[in-house]
Amino acid sequence: MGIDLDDLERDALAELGNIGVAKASTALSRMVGGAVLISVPTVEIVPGNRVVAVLEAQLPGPQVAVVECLSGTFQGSAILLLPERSSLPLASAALPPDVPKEHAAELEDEALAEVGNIVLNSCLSSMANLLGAGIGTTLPRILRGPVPLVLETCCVDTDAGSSAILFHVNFRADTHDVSGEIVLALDAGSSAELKATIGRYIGRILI
Amino acid sequence: MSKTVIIVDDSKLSRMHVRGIILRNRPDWSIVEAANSEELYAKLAESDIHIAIIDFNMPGDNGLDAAKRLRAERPDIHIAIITANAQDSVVSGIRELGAAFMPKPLDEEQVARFLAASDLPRRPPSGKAG
Repeated sequence: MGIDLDDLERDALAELGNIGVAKASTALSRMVGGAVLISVPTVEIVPGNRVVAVLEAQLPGPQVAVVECLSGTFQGSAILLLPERSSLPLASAALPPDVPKEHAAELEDEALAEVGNIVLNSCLSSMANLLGAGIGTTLPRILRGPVPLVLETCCVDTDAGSSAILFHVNFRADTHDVSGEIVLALDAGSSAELKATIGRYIGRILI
Repeated sequence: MSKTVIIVDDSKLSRMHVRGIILRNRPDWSIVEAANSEELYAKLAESDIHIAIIDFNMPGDNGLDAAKRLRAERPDIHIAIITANAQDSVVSGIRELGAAFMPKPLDEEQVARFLAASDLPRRPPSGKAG
């Protein structure tokens, strides 16, 4: 199924994503206690099987992902994707101040799930509020493996015949030597509703 | 007066975080922990709880549903719901219940203000008279 967004709708979606990611990076920077740099987000509509290639080009090798499946206006997945080497440093940096750092390894998955949940929800809830729409999220799940394996297990349709709105942005927290991507892979199935919702958003801001 | 706070969150790490904030601000208060709403209801009978701090995103009942049932059973308890999900529908649900909304990542000052406000009589839910 194709997704037919015109230039203005695509701009609006990129802008919503920008605002969402800005919120998410603020939350992340507060959690790790240091600056978080973000790249210019990209939004593109790609065949399902290209999603893997695009993300794998950004993040080759083994990854750790925090994944939440979406429902409502957006269907698909929101993913915090990290190279494996960033996983423990991020978990460690995000531990509450009174938890000794030597517990980071044992609490790694729990800390990452919490970071992922906060980052993804900060992004999605600001987008939902601007759109005036509801976005449902599942509880965070931790997945490990290369990008194709992660995407296969997390509600992203990777068939060549499908298409996805792929929104992604790179972030870096240099003080902790952590980097990764925030990814929204939206299902083509929700395209008509999404188009209508974006249309109403554009209508509101252009009054 | 020393009070008892129940922290309801499926994440042990988050419970440790909230516990740390409370004890830094109110070292003489007692803390009870619950990993989900069922544990919350079970522990209500066991101790004299004054304040509940509940995570929104939990398996089973979400924090808002847990808080609604708690409110019905124990209208005197001060409730805060903590969440990174600041969608309008979630925040208005929290306010309608007369609970405090505390966004994640938690701001220690805000938690301290909520704890201080629990010394005052509970504010009626928004939008209703009295």
